[in-house]
Amino acid sequence: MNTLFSTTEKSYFRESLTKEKISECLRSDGRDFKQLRTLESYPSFLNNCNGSTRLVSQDGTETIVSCKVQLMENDSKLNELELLNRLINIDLSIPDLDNSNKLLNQMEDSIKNNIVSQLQGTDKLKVTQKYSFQLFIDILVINCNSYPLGLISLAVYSTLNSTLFPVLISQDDDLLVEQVPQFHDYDLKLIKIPCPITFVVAIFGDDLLLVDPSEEELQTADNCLLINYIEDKKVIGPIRTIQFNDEYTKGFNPLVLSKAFELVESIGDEVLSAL
Amino acid sequence: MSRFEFYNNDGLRIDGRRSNELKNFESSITTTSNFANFSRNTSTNTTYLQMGQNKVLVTINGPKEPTNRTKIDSNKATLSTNINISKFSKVNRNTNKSNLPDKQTLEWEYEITQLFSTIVVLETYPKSTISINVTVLQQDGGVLSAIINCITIALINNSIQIYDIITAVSIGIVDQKHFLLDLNHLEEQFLSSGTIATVGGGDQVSLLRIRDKFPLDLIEEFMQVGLQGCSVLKEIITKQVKDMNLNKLVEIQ
Repeated sequence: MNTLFSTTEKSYFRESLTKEKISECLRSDGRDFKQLRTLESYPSFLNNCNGSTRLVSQDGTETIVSCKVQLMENDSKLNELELLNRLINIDLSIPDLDNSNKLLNQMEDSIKNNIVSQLQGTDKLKVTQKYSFQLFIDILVINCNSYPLGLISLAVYSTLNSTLFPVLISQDDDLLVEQVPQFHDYDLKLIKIPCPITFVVAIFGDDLLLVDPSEEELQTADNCLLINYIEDKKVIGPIRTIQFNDEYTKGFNPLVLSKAFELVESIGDEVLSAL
Repeated sequence: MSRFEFYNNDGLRIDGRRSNELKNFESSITTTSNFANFSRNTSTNTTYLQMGQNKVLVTINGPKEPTNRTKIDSNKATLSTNINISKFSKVNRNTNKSNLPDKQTLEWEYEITQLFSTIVVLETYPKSTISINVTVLQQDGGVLSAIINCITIALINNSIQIYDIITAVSIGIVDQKHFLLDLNHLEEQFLSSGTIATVGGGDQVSLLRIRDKFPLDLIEEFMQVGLQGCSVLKEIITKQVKDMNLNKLVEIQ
């Protein structure tokens, strides 16, 4: 994230990706255009959390996500969205960046909004009429070498798909009778919380789209797109652009957008099934 | 008296170990630069140590040129340690809003820096810094000893010259007569305990840390048990590092 390249280095990277024929373009790490970096995944490796994942990327970036579940009493004054915002707590920390960093806040918000928007209208986190599960999702990124949102979203997806919740054994209707919910001593059940994954797509010219760009590609790209994808071949909003350099950044042809969607739809399911 | 029976008549502890039995010790290394990444030197190794239920990750940056010119020492390298104890490392999540380290962590950072400054051959790397980043993912008892052991392994894995291996182990005392090696979190909570680190598994104690009230007439035996544990641990570490690096060699070829 703090690698500085010289102008010569940058123009070398840029040139190798902006050839006339697309078949002549080469990525600096030898990947295919729609190939993600190799991942190593260790699901559920922390046993005092409800769910956890450790993902190690090829470039050395390591993401550790832990999810802890707590019981929270609903505040009846809040509407659904406000309640969900309180139920989902994301804490992202990257040791190299300080807490008030804008990029950090942007990533935190993006992940939170993705989860909250998927949970709206469902009652997956509801325990009884008065109580809900509160999720604390802590994300730790070590050795961060490039923009890590793509990797983080994969780790969060994998964590939320393996998070185990306590099983309720008391009644679930407590509007009339005042009682604190009771849980089974050791039995846990899986509640699948839908969570979209985010693809970072770098745009070079009108034709070339690169999935999961490395730092040198981010520094030389025309523009980058953040595209959310959820299971069953669906690209969902919000979709936004993001820039990481001043030198090469420029607008892009709107036709590229539909190409990018097709690209993400074609690889999305494969990526999800790999996790 | 606490309500737990830490050491029963059969000579077994709460988790079924004997008094002088170490916890499961498993270390591994993640090497990620499996192809030449020419733009950047990302030969980052992450060393992961699992000591019982302690899970510690150590990455070492350097030796490299310091970013801050004032930190340059023209004769030797400067060592810095940064410990990050993650919020989810205990059973109950730490609700502290700020990410600033607490006092104990700062103390550990200082102690570890002092400890390893004498062990790393700093004269080999003049005008450079070596920064050690520790992440504690899960805490059981004896986190400090796990951190020290993991840093030792990480230094070896990163090919940084050291004089000898440092091993550390925690010891607790039950009923003024039994000594328990390598505590778990329950034992650490209720017993008077301490941590010993030795150089090369020999009888040179390089760090001693005793918490709470401690019967001083027992200290001799306490040290004996600790030294014994450290020398066993040294053999385990030597073996694991050898195996790990053999595997690495096979992967490269």
